Amino acid sequence: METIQFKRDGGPLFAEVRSGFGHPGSYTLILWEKASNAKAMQDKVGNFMNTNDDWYELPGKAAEHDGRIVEAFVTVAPPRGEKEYFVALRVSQDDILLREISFSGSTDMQSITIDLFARLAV
Amino acid sequence: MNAPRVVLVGILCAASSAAAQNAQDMAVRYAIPASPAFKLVSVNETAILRPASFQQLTTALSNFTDKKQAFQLPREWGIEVAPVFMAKGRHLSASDYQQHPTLYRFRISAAVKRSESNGVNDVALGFRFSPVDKSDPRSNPDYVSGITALLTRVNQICVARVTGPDGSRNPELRPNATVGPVGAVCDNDPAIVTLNKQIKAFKDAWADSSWNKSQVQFAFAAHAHASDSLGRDPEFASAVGWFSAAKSIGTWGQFTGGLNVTAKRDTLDRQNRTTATGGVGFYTGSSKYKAFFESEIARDDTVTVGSAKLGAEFFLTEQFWGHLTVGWQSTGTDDKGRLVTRLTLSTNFPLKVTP
Repeated sequence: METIQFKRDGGPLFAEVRSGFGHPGSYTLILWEKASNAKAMQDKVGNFMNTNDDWYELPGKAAEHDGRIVEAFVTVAPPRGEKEYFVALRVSQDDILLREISFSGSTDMQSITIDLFARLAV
Repeated sequence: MNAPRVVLVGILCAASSAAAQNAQDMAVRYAIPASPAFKLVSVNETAILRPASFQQLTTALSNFTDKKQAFQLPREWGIEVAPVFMAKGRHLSASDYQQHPTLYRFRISAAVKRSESNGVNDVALGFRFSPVDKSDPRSNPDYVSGITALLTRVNQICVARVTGPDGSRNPELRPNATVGPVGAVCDNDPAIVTLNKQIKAFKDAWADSSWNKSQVQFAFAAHAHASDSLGRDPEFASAVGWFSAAKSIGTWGQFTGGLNVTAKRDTLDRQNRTTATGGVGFYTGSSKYKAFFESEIARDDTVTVGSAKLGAEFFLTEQFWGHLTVGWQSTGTDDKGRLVTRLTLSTNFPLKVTP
């Protein structure tokens, strides 16, 4: 599993979900507790009609996120005649991008759902 | 009045006089071609690249090699790209696109064709701008909101399926969890299969409704003879500018208007001649079946010609369309013009192999 390293004593962590090629789409952002099926926050459900609201502050102090898993399920639909897609989950701290977990590909399907996730670690 | 001549399967009856032939040549349609450069230098459809990303472009260019695997441009090739869209590609959000649709719809086309007999290269470069395009799904709020609602339902069902029936399964504890498409666990879910059918129907309905959407477009293309495929030592051959506008009328009609100005160098006397063509049209019906009225007037230094016609376009199969027109066409001489009837069959077989 990919790891996103952050500063224990830094500012809050932010997660952002993105879709490329101007594709519309929808997503669910989940924050899992360390090695547990419990969730550290309520699932965030959103879409790409307004990118201003695709940023989410992960609740609590940064140090609390050590070992947690941040996950995004992103569903997109290329317009008819197009196939390529790109989706990404980005984690930032103190206005610095720590890491981007992304996936790109092409599909003949009407919609495609991609699972993006990584472990947060100090 | 001349007797009507029926034309079958796209074969046009030869003009009976030089003036009539000139009228036919000058009847340049004001509609902007999809790729302006390809209108000036006719390139085989199989030699045209239309990459949507840099990855597709590099893959396509990697095929341009000779026997020694060195890079070599083919004798005939064309390319059409939306450069800003391609440059931003993966990082282009839906809202970015909606804020600057003209920028992302801007397209460049280029075509090169080398003559086997004298080695002269015909090169053309074209630019196309679409400030208004209501048929563009990305910039249409109805399309975006409608399909987003469907995708939200797909997403919710898929999340529930992947993270377990109780909605709680951490990827650390989920067997075979990998970053990437969720795959069959969602794709084969009956509810998602149904939703994907609805998404397809939504996309198809959108495409069918796009035939009469409002648009404003303009384009420019230039054609030159050059000593090599890169356009060195160019000698002007022709240049064309287009402007067209279309206004939708409900879901059943469309008004169109356009203007085309062409400057072309005469190969004999080396003089540049300019032709201006303007026209209006009205269309009614649906995507697959429509009736129309079109009229055009074209003028150059020596003659003014015009045409007006009624017609119908009808869908036969996915690969075949029929067109029937009955109209009047002036020849630019003193006579009263001629009645022309034309029945053509158009095919739509895919010819291009994408990289």
